[in-house]
Amino acid sequence: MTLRVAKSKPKPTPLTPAVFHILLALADGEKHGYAIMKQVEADGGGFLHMGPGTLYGSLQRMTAAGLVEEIEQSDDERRRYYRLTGTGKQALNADLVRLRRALASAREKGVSIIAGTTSK
Amino acid sequence: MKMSPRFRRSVLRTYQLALNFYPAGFREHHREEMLRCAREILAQSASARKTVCLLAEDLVRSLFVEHVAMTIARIPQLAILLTLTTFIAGTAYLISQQVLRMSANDPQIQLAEDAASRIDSGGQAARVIPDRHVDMASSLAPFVIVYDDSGRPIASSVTLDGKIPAPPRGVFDFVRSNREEGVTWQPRPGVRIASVVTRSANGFVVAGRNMREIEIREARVFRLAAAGWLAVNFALVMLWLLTPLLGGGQALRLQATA
Repeated sequence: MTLRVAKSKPKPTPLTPAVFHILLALADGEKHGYAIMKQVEADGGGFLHMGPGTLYGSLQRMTAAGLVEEIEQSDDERRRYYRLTGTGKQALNADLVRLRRALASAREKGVSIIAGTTSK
Repeated sequence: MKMSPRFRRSVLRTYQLALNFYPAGFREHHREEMLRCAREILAQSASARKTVCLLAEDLVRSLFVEHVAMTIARIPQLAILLTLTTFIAGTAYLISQQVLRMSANDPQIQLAEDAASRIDSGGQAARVIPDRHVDMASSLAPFVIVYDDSGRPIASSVTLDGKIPAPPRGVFDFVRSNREEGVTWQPRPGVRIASVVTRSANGFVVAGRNMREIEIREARVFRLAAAGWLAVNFALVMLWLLTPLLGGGQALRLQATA
């Protein structure tokens, strides 16, 4: 999936870490809860763990906010899948742009990022 | 530490029980998925302690978050209920207080009208007042004072600090054109009198009595109304707090619209 900077005005950023990582986990396609948890863990380099309570609480609020939507899966009805909505993609794009700017700014200031820690 | 199947089962059972503490709507919607996730985490876990800590921390944190979110979404509901109970308790108190206050004038109306009628029929002022003389500050007995047309006392069955007290200025002028008036009167701090002023031939009749006992009853009614208000609101708040745990799908809809 290619993420492009949204042309329309994005939702207010920054997103909370949980919301950001769930959106990022769903960026390459629909997933069920456990798959999202594993993806978040992988995206966080193994340092980020999200439990079922945090995941489903966030998903519920994100669904209400229109960032993700539940989809029905005919092969396994008991398993609930989620995917990004247009609004969710915009929110993720906007947050990635913000992070890219922050990273560029850090580099301009000579902050070097070394293996999970920062030094100047 | 590797996790034994028995330990895994007991962790899962505990987790399953703990899921009952989520708000009902959230629980109904996500219970199976959360349990499935927990089962898969436990099945693939390399460290029992780390996994149990992760599940426990997540459980405590998300229970708090979900309950706070649910509570905030339902605050307007509680505000409406509390406003309603306050209005009902306030109205009940005001009605009771008014009934008490109005009934406090009943003996005085009869006394004043009877005395005025006797004066109108040619009776002497000194003979229409009660025989027993009382002190306005200490006695609860009704009293009668007869005034002439200029407002000077002619006869009285009551005194206050050795003098015959006079009702507030303007009362006689009002009664001159309106025949009768009920007046709450404070001749001295701490002494409140419920009185009825009636027009008689060439003068006025004032019948009154100390309101001490009525005010004690009013205070009792106020305490009862306040206690009822507190009890009902305590029960309402408890019910309001417990509804998300006991309720059904409505709780979820409320949360989703927050």
